Amino acid sequence: MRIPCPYCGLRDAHEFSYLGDATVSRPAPDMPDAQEAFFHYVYLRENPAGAHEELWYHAAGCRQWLVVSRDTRTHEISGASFARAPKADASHAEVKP
Amino acid sequence: MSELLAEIPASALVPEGHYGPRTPAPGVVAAQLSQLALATVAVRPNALDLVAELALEKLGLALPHGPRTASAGDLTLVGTGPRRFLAIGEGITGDPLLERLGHAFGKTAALTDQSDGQMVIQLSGPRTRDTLAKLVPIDLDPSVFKAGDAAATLVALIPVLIWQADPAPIYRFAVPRSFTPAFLRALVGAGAEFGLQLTGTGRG
Amino acid sequence: MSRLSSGGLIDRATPLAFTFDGRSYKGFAGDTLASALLANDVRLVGRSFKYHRPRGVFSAGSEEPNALVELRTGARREPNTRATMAELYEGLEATSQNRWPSLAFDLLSANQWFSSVLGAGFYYKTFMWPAALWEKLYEPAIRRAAGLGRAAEQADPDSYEKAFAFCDVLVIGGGPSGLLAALTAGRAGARVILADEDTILGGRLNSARTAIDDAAPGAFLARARAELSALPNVRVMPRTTIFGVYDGGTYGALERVGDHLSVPAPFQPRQRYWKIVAKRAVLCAGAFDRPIVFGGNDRPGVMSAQALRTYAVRYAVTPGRNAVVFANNDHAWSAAFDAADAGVKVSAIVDVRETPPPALLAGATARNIRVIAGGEVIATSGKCLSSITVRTRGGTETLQAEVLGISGGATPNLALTSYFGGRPKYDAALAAFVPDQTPPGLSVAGAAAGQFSLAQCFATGAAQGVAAARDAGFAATPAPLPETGDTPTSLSAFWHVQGSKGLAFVDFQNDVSAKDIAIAHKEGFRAVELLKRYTTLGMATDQGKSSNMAGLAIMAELTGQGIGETGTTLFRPPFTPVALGALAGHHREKDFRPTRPTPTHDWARKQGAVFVETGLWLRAQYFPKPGETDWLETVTREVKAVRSSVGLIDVSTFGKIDLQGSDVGVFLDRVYINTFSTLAVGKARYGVMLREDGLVMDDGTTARLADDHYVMTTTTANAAKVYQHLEFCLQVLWPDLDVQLASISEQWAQIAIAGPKSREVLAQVVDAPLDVSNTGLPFMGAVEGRVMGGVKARIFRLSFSGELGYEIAVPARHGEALTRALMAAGAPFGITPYGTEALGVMRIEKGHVSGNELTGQTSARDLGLGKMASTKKDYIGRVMAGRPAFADRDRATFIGFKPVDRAQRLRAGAHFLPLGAVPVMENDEGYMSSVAYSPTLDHWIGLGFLKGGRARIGQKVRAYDPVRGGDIEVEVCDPGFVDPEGERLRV
Repeated sequence: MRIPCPYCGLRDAHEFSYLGDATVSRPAPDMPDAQEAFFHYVYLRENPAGAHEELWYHAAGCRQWLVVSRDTRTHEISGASFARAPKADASHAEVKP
Repeated sequence: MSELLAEIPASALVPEGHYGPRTPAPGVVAAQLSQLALATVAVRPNALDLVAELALEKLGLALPHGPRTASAGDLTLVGTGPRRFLAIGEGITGDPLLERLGHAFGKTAALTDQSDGQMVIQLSGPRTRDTLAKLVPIDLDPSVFKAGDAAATLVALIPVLIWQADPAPIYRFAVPRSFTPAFLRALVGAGAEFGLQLTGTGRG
Repeated sequence: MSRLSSGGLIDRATPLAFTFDGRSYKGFAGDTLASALLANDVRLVGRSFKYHRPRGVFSAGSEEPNALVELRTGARREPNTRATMAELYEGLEATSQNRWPSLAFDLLSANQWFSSVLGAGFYYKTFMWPAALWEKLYEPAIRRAAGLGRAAEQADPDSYEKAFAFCDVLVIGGGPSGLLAALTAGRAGARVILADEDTILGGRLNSARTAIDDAAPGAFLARARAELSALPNVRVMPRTTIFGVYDGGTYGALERVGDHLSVPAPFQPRQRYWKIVAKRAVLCAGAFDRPIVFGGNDRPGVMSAQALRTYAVRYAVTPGRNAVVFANNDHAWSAAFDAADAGVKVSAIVDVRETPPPALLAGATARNIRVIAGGEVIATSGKCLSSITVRTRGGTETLQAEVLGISGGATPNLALTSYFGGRPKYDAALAAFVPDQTPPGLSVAGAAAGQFSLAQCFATGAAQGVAAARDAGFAATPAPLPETGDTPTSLSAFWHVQGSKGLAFVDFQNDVSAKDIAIAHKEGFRAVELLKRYTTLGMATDQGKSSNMAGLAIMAELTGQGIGETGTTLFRPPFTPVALGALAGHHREKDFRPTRPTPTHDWARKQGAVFVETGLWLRAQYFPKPGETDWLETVTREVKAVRSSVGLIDVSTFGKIDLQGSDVGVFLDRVYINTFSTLAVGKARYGVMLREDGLVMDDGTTARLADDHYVMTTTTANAAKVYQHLEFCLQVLWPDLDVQLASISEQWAQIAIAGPKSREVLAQVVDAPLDVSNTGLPFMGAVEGRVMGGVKARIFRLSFSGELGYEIAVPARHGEALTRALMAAGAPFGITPYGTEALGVMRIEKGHVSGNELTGQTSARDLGLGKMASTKKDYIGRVMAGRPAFADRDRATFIGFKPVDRAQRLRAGAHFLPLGAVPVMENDEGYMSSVAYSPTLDHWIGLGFLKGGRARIGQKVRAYDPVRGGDIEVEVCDPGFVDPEGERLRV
């Protein structure tokens, strides 16, 4: 697979490490059912056949965490963006395909 | 494994010398550079515009956008990630480099000396690109990767930063210190076919 | 000799000597081993896999099922080399395979008389019982009887390498369609790679006499090759097989750099494995001439009709004195005509069709070739083919023939199109599967797409070249199409001669016959995937390139389903076999993976250190002295030296991370279970980090150098993982924090000195005014200063050994100098360098946890570190660490052990059982994680996890280690074996 890193450009997937579903977010630790919420956050994942938003870390490149849109059936990657929204600094991120 | 390297310990720098067929001129010249100071520059949140202004004003240097280099005199900045740069000063040591960068950027960026952490290896010669094709998993064709372009990537399982220093072409690699022996082994194995001259690594 | 007196692409001025089975022969440059053998009248070249049947050369390309040989000798011996792909070189040595005692007389050929019982499913049915006999009897016997060549038994002396290439358009195959595609895209300015497995570009044009632009094909080929090599944006890669298609337009290719030489040229690899990334690719891989299934169709002398043409035209060889062609299609006729025109005596064409096209009949008449229309070959005879029996409407007739060129039609070489799961579709008019869905970015032209005629190849090659170049962003116009008289051919689908005599082979290499297909059908293995696995059809090294089609067709006949409904199995990479050495490339032996030396590696080597691999690092394990007889003696001396005086160890391999910013304290509070925001400047603290699931990820000390500047250390093993985790926290969880990370693992050499005399040693290397007294630098203090007359340093008063200790960090280039300075300063105290073993012993004596305990399955509480956890803040893993099971009193937790009989040795990995309990899982109470012989206590000690943990101190349990025969009583004790109160640290 080749992942379009928004900083480095298209790179082989060997340069990245995979984490998984990018749509889960860390629950508030002081919420009433925190343990239940964390259980879901840590362990429970959808396993979609099709579009998937997932976290990849460009370990051998710019060391940025990315959200990659990948079709789990075809490995087709339709895009990637920084997991940290670059906000005002976005102007300095050269985005290649 | 190339027979060339069979007798050289994997933990030692490949000694300087000529590797491969004797040709009138070596196809590749590889040099481990000394007299360089290196530092990472990590810009603090929301300070990139300010740092860009300071770089221009105090260092006479246009901050590189993306994975590119920018140089002014003996100082080069290489973009290594969003808000991150590797600063390279020629002919100085780490402390004065840090002082100079600190003077320019003040508290807008975190500075970390890397002068002992990264070795810089320069490649030149007519068969440089043929050698790099065996090492670097990115497209270095001059239509794609030009002088002033940089890339952090993986060479022979080693994390490196590569940038093109000159259209000649001349490329430079920053290699983590402990990986330098392994990097040189891969480099010599790849370049020996074209005749490779290695300097700056000592006599072994 | 069967060399024709003229013609061919061989260089008659360059004769080459070679041997086959020890006999000497001559060939020419430009020959393959197969063509040279045929030129020397060697027609029997191997024995088949199962029945040991004599086999000859079947094809002239990479699909070859029969002519497999061992090439070269000694360490370079390579089994199962296709003689049709092996270029001849001076001194080539080849040996036939799978025969004993000789190729001509093979005892195991008796297997074929038992073919009635050795058929499909034989192994499954026969060797079911008794199971005990499988390893002892059946498998060795089968392995001896079946099989192919022998691998070399020595290490491969050649080198291999990997390389990367990038292009706009990759053209796979350099035949007529590939040439047009490459010319079209190349002229448009696209970066083109044209790869072909053959030595020279041209594909079938090298084997044909068909006129192109009113001249021999050679003239067109010369122009095309010259133009392609003149285009700077086109790279021609001969001897290069594209063997796989991968995601993102990545293609695997094998370049045979030195396979055509006796040994690779100096400093050149034998083979090169390319990863090619292409925006677009055009598959122009041609087609295979497939066999017809009839009794005796595997006899040496039977070959594909197109191979007959190739040997005659390209190699100027007549593969036998008298050739007959047996076919169902026009293309085989033109092969016969070209062979005849090249000088081969073609006596007859047998065509299953009743009325072949009149133009072909005229061509045969003109060449004095007899035509038997509506005929079928029903038998062959001779050890090597000498005659065939033909059945016609009028009866049967025997014809003399040393060569029988057979052709059941063309099978498009579309393997690469199905590597992404694309199923080829059946085209009844062509009687062939043609590509349907292809991998993204890959299109198909020419014969691989079922466009078999030369004119179609040129046209589709140019058209696909245009499309590919355009997709890659280049305005392209098709290259002008060469004129050719070659028109679409017709055929009449025909697979299997009914009622022929003898075994009729479908898959030559795996000895699968038509009868085996019938058995599979009868026994219900009818789906193609089952058919394949039950009969092994298409599972040999040739992957059924030429044979699959007839197998599917026969099954379709048996089931009554159409071939399209029957379908085809899918192909998988690699297209042709790839040596593992090529995939490994540079990464073998010493270069299997990078070796990372520490900054003091050379110094340690000179001290005679024995090194150990820890991850990629090489660390000094211990420093034996002359006269010491084993490692334990050395390690014991090193430990005693530290505990009684002072020792030194390089700890540079720890991960070191620089953290700067106004929020570092807050950040560390969130990633460690304990608090760091309150840490005073100039102090260090031990911290434990959890994963979000509540289990311990890593531990280490972190020091505060300034209000907004901390330095973290991680374990050696987890350095990269922790850095990645911290980046995750900063970029994904809390992007608003002002924290900047930098790895400084490589920048700083870090040398630990430990022992009661360590302060006195340290004091001698630090520059004024740095104060390292107990008040100036108390336990867990961290200061920056200078050492050795001006070298900047960070000094941490930390201890892993339990003794008074310091870690001194200096820029890596000074690591060795610092070590020498410390050794000199410590000489009066007998300072002793020690390695990871002594360090491990001392940490076990102190009861510190390490890698053996940080298994990813242990919580802070399990490790006895639960009290460190702050209750005043949230941190990663806090919520999940609060799950009830982690607090279960019965949970195995960290504790110490000593043998009841102090003379006994402990073993890590032993499991704990209650005294007297039977050793079953239900009684398991935990395990020993780390053990050491304690020089301080003079007996073995251990750390481990035991149900109930500290509450059981003083009890005895059984340490049961069936793997190594250990079964002893141990006493549960506090894990702090030495100085549990930590008094030595604070002196």
